[in-house]
Amino acid sequence: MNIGQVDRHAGRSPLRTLDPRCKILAIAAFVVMVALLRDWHVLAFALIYVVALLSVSGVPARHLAGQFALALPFALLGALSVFLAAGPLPAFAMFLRIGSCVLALLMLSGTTPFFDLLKGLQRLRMPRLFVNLLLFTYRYLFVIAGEMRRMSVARRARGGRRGRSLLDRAAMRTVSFSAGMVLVRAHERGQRMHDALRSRGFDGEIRTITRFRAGAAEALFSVAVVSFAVLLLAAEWGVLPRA
Amino acid sequence: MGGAAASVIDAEGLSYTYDDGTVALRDITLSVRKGERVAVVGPNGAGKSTLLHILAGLRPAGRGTLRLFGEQLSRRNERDLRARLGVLFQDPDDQVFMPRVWDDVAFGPVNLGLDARTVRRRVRRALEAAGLAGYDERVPHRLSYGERKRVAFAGVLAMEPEVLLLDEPTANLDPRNRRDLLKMVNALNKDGTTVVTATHDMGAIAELADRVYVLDGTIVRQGTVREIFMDPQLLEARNLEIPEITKLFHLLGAFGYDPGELPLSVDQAIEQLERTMEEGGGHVHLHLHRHGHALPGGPDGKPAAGKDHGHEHGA
Repeated sequence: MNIGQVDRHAGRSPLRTLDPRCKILAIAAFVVMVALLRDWHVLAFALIYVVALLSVSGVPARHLAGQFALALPFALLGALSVFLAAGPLPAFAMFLRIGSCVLALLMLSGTTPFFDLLKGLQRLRMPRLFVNLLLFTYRYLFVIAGEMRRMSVARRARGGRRGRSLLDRAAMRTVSFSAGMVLVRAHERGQRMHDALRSRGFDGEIRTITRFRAGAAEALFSVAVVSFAVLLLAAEWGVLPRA
Repeated sequence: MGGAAASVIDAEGLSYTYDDGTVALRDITLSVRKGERVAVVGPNGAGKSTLLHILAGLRPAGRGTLRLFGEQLSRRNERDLRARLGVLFQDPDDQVFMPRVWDDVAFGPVNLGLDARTVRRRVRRALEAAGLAGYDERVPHRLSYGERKRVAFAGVLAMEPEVLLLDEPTANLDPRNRRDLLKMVNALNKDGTTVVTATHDMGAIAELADRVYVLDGTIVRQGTVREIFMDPQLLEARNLEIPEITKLFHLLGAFGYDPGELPLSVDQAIEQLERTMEEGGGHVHLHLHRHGHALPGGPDGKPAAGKDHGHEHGA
């Protein structure tokens, strides 16, 4: 995955301006409820609904397909294990369940800049260690990726080669040395960064003055996402009157 | 006090040893007064960054005492005292840790507990001062090195520190960013900010400092910039050199030009040339003659004999 792709489309989505707290809560509720569904018919509706929501989210289908492809092996593995234990229909239901949940989460990440997402999580009182770790990982992933790129260029400039496969001994040696080097550099940078944080008054908590405001648009979005999941759950549990 | 400005940094007998047992600093005693521009110079590995971090209260010295703003640094007051110091690290990526420029610059003021309106005002002013107006929503990993350095500097400015500690501020900067940074620092100094710079960029020292400590594990010499620059043995022994502009004016002496007091910066050189031209009816006269010369920063200060310089007559 190219980390430069993160946030690439989030800024342009019409859903971008929505309060991230509402998006997080609504989509988390949707995911939990979909995870409780068993019937593949109902799950198919869930998947169709998420795809419909994504179609108005403004996130390009190609980008979504690329992101979904990363989760596909896990979805297939989950479906396969259910297939072996319970047969084809439960396996299909598992695939639909995982697919719906992943796409819903992709809608969240695809329409919300990562930093806003973190601020939303912070406002929702997620543990600060967790939020801080995500924040610094996100920022320094790009720095470390840059360092790795420069190391790779330097290696090639001195005649280093990639190797034909991971079974290539020389390639493995190079990869392991590079990984070690990156770890050492990341550790040193971490120490310098800690000094920099302290020099600017950091005491373990990242504060922000951003104020989110939930209004009619947020209410509409939340109702649209959550109510449909509730309807699906009610349909499966037989709460709804049958036609 | 006798009219002397109050001391903002007082270090006495500071020593520091790395975890592996290497002694980085020995018996450092120095003092910086309010509003001063002080440089700590020395070769690579002299301990400049380590000293700066100790002075900023980020690293405890193994031995010695450190007083900041007249108070002995301790666990009880280190956070309050640190808030009055601004540190610009050598690598901006160590310092720009928020994923958006605005939030990074606001990081310090928010931690100081300022209200939202003050934070916004400070951030706007810092971004403007650093030449980053309109960069609010930009992400650091998409900025050039020079721009990231400006973001780091804006983050320090937004804290409105009384003392600015700069670690190799001009390293890796292109000429324009370098010039802008020096200008910004000097503007702050004019407004009363004390500036302490650790560097081996001798060209920058002439523009950033009035007083210099030469460090090589310990303080080997202190004096005005001119006193240090005019000591070739000292510079040679510590792998340091005078600025190119000073070298050029020294060489002009071989062409019959009397520079009087050698300029240490481009600004001083321009001033001197203008003065010479005023006195010379709008001309600077140079003459051709055979001449051996020695640069103040040359090996042992001995004349580089046998070299010919000059031309017929320049005006």
